[in-house]
Amino acid sequence: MTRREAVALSIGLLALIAGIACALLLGADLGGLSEASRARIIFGLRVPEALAAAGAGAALGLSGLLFQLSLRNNLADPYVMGVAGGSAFGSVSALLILGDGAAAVILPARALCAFVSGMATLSILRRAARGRVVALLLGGVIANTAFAAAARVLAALLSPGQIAQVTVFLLGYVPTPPVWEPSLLLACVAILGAWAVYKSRTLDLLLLADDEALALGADVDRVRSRAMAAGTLLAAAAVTLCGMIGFIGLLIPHAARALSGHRHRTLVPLSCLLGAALLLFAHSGAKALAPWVLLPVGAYTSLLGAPAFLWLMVRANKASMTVE
Amino acid sequence: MIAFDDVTFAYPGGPALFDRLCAVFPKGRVSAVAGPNGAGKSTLLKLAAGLLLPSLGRCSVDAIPLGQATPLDRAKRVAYVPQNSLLPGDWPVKDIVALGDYPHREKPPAPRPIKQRLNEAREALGLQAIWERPAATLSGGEAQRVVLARALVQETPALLLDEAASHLDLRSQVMLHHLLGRLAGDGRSILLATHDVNFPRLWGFDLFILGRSGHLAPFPNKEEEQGALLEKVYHTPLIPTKLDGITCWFPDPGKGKHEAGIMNAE
Repeated sequence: MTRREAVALSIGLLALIAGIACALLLGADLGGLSEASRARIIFGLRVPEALAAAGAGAALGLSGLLFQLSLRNNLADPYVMGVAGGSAFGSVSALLILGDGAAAVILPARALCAFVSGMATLSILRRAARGRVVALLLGGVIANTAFAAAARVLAALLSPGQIAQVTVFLLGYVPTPPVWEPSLLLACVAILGAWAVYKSRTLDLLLLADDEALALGADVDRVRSRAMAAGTLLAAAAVTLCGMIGFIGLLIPHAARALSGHRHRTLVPLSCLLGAALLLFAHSGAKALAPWVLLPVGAYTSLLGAPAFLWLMVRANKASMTVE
Repeated sequence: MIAFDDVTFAYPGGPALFDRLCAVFPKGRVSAVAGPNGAGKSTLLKLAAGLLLPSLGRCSVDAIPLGQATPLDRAKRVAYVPQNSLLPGDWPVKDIVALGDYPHREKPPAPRPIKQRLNEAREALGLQAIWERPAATLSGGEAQRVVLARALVQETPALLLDEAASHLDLRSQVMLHHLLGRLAGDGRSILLATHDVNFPRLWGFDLFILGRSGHLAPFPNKEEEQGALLEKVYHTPLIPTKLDGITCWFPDPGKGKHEAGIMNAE
């Protein structure tokens, strides 16, 4: 590991610790409360929220990295590509159709529907775009809009009382779940992240032209489809728990590359750390900024992310990423 | 030795590019394949590299067929330098060159220590001055040298170069041709695709001509036969010039103008 990579990972770790501290300490003043209610607020509300924010942020950061790599395009991420929209629709329809059952059954069922729906969206869009990245990204944005509308229509038809809830879900929020739910998400991130680090040398080769990577011995098609499936699974899991939080998957890999350079052995863990930290900060910031409404955190990440996306787009046109 | 046994190949939906092609490019030699655009030089190289699989017949390196080999095993035997490569712009040159170690790293043993191979490749292709630079800042010729260095680090018995000198300046071309001669001398099989029918013979390489019908012929020794073959394959009048006792062929500017008109009319 180079010095730069070590420094980058340390920064990521510090950011995560700071993010956790913010999420646990910021919020209503607990000074006048009894010991018992203080513990209830911290362990019953803030810890699960912090776990959910960290899990979703890490999942989205890693998912964005895997998509940008697989498509060799720095503007890709699960949100922009319609995967998040597809997942959100799958997840919401499962929720609306299954109703209020036992969470232990409903949540995995929703995640599964989200994954299937996200994969379907991705493969249809890829087939339709036939290698044209602009078409893919445009298709993704349109798919997101369509899915959001479809989710609202479904909610209106099945259970009108839930429309507000669906709207919050489509914006992206940090829930206060039982601890096992975000733990499941974090386990998912840990397993897929470990796979990506293990395969990092092969992932590096995906940046080359397919023929070159193949000639160097990489099983290009297989690794790319696995990376995309992993990216979709991470997005589906994050969306199921926290709704459609935008732009984290887009921005985090750029920050990670700027900090650590280009090797995926570092980019993978760093994207997880930074993604988790960013969503923790955004969540704490949302609480601090407007504690009286608790605006869904996705509203803030999108406000921040949209101009950043434009900036990246302009920059990508100026300095082409590849040499021929 | 790179061998084609009865190789038949067609792209999906296209006509057969090669029909039962048999050819042997021996160990210890640099073999060059020239031919008109679209004759299938690049396809021939991709078949030899195992990147494309023939619909019938087989391609092998040192008698080991590539069709059954895993990607890693294949990459330990054949290195391939494409006509155009895609270099990740933010990677420094040294890390791109080091990617040539991938197959040996994933599947040991490595032929020799990586440090040694990296240093040799850097010296051989004159990359010292750009070793730390990001790929986005390289010129076309520099990028081509980087990809060649990566193939050297791969250190395979067979080396395939698709118009490897196309972006190189004169000095780098000379450097490359010396290097290829030296590598062949070490007992490797080297196969080039090129547009130049003269330099391979001036450098003592073996020349083959690939016609539009997918027919591969060794370059004849007699001057009359050479002229007839080249004019038939390229549909262009050529004039011979002796250089170092070797007959070189150049397009005839006077007649060419007239013929080019005919070609456009076709």
